[in-house]
Amino acid sequence: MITREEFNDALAELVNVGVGRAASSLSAMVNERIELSVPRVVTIPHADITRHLNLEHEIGLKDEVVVVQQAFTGRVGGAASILFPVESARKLVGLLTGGLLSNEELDLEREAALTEVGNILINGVMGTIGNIIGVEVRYHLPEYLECHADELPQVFQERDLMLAVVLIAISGQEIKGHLVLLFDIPSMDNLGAIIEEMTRGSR
Amino acid sequence: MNDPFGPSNLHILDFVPSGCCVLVDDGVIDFWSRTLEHWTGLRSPEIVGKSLFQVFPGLAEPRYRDRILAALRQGVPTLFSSALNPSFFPCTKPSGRPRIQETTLVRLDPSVQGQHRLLIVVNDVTEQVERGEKYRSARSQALKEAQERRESEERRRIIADLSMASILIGDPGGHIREANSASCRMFGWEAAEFENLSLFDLVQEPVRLNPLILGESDLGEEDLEILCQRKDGTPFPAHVYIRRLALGEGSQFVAYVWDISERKRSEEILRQSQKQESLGILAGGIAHDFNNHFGGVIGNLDLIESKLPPDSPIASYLDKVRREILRATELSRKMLALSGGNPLVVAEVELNAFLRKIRGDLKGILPAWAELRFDFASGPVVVEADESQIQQVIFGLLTNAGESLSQGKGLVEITTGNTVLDGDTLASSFPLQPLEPGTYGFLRVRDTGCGIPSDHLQKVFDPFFSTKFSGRGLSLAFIRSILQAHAGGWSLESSLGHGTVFTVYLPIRPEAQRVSAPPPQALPSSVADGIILVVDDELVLRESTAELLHELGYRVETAGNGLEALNYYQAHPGQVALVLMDMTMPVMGGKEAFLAIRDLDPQAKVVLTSGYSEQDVTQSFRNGELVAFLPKPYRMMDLAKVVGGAVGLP
Repeated sequence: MITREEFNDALAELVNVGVGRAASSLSAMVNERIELSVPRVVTIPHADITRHLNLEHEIGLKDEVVVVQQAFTGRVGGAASILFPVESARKLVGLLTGGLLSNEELDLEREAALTEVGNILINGVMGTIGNIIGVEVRYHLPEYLECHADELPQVFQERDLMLAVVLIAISGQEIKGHLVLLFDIPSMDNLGAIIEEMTRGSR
Repeated sequence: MNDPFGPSNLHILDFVPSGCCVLVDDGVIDFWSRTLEHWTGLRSPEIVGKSLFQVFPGLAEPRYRDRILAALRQGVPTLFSSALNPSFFPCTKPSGRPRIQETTLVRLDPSVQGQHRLLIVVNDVTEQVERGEKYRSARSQALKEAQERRESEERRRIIADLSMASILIGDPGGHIREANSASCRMFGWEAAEFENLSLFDLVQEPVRLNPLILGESDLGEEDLEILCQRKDGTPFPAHVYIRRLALGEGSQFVAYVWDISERKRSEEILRQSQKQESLGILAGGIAHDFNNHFGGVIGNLDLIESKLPPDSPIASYLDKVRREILRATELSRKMLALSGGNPLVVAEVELNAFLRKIRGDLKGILPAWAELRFDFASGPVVVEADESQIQQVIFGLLTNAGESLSQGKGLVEITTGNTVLDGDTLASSFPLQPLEPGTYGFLRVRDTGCGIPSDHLQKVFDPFFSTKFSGRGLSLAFIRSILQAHAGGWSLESSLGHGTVFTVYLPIRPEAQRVSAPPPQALPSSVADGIILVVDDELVLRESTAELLHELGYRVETAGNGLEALNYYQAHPGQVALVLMDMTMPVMGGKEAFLAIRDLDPQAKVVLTSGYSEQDVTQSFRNGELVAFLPKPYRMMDLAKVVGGAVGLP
């Protein structure tokens, strides 16, 4: 049985490979360098998510937050989410559309553009992880939602979370966001077993 | 084994209102729905079995290809939004516009071991996007217009606030909606308070505004001068321009209000000054003529007296006539003072000491039963003034005070002191007097008499205004003239039945013209040999003067105007010892004749005589040109002194 630290390190490495691919996809779209932090994997009560993200990463999830969430099921189930403070979301859309959609209100096209960006990032990570662990995972279509930062615990369905947090920053622009991977507790056990098998195999 | 996602099972997608395409292997097209056939014009049999990336080369770019293949191989659902990828399958609408698409890629996983397929679902969002664009365009235009309106409003507000005029905007009922900052300064209301005010609250004559403001349909403008009022009720004259403007379905008024208090004050000072000047000219002219006539009378009286025996009973009657003439002469002198013709002879005058000196005379002016009190300042009150003229002022004030007292009782009190009149005090309490801020000595005369009706207060300074049956009406006008000459001021408070307070202010350092008193001239020691040429157009005066000089032992000739005098002088070179010349004459005046005679004989001696004041007459001559000036009317002794002094000069 691998330890929690070993599990966290292994998961962080998986995510790291995935976000590298996601970053290059996004970078090609915006013609800007994308900086992604080294993932940090923690387990926290769902109620602490906003405080945790703000404390650890100073993103400023204070008011309205844009969330793109994509659920997955199978041996490993959970959801991958991208969180942007609303101001960063506006700037990102402005950057992607050459300022066409830079007005203050978030309309349908803007939602679609942000959903696509979230989709690219999430697919980059989850596709890579799925490939490496070689487990069949079924993915749902991405969902777009806006909520207040205080409502994030409800968005994450009131359960304890395994967070794999990646900080996204786009150079030259003050655009910051989080990539958050959430795993069900049983899935975490399954994922732990898979990782243990992988590490044993590699030894 | 039946493949649930095989082509034979996919035709249900032909009935879906979205474009549907299914890929297998490395992007080979396995299904192409009727909707896509319709949109792209590409028939299914033409492209099924071909690579998507060959049929649509744009999708072979890595940013599409990698994601499409990742979706197929890894099963991650993938979105291509209309905002970032508007034409996944390039095609147009019947109108020729590009068909904008929202594309979703979902892997179809077989329930049993089999081939993965990728379902591409394309939704046409062209109308939605165009509505969004129209909305954004309209919104952007509206925002731009709103911003321009805000800026325009801000500019308008700044311009309005910079304006010195009050600008008021309101509805046709007169209710004020907006007021600029000048309005706050002018009317004394806070900006927010104007919203509870009507234009009628700001004027003292609201009835004059009604037709313009209340008329429901009249659009027009009006320019008027009207009395407005400040928050504390203080009235002020204003120039108001009001215009009714159509606005939407209704209308508004815009009013510009200029406070014209200062202009009115200047105009009033100018009007007073012009009035004073024209009255002065009139008074001076009358005084001049009177003096000529008095001169003839007095000269003849002196001649009659010189021919009477010493004990003649007629002498006393003549004396009475002369005294009456001299009283009339005094009135004439006051009229000349009104014209500003009397020069000041100023010196330091300590008012307390001066009042003590003339206390007895002052008591004599008042009725015997009236009480006269003095309240002297503890320290000296030193002003620079013409003592004789200030005495006239005090006498005039005491006379008025005495005449206002009721029969049998009453008090007159004289107070002195020093006071500082600053700019604010002058503006508020002496608005029509052009005084300089500074220290003034004052003399206040208070009586307990009948007082002056308020409607008379502004008129009492007008020459010839009098409410007294026997009044001459010159007293206060005379006093004002003297005070103005001293650069001094006055204040008058009175209420009917409660008495009057008149205060005189004299500057400590007046700008009054200083003229030295003329030096006494020596009496002639002997009669000259030459001819005295008397030049005057007034026959009676000319003849009486000639006869008086004759009586004094001179040889005398006469001329009726300047030209006759010049001709005589020219015809008798070296024979005329002195010319006694009137100033104002027909044909040729005294000044012209003087210059002509001086041209003939630079040593000619000329004494000018006139019914005008010395200052008026001599100011057009250079110093030393004239031997002397003799004011009319003159008595025999004055004539003897001046002529004797003149011919006696080397």
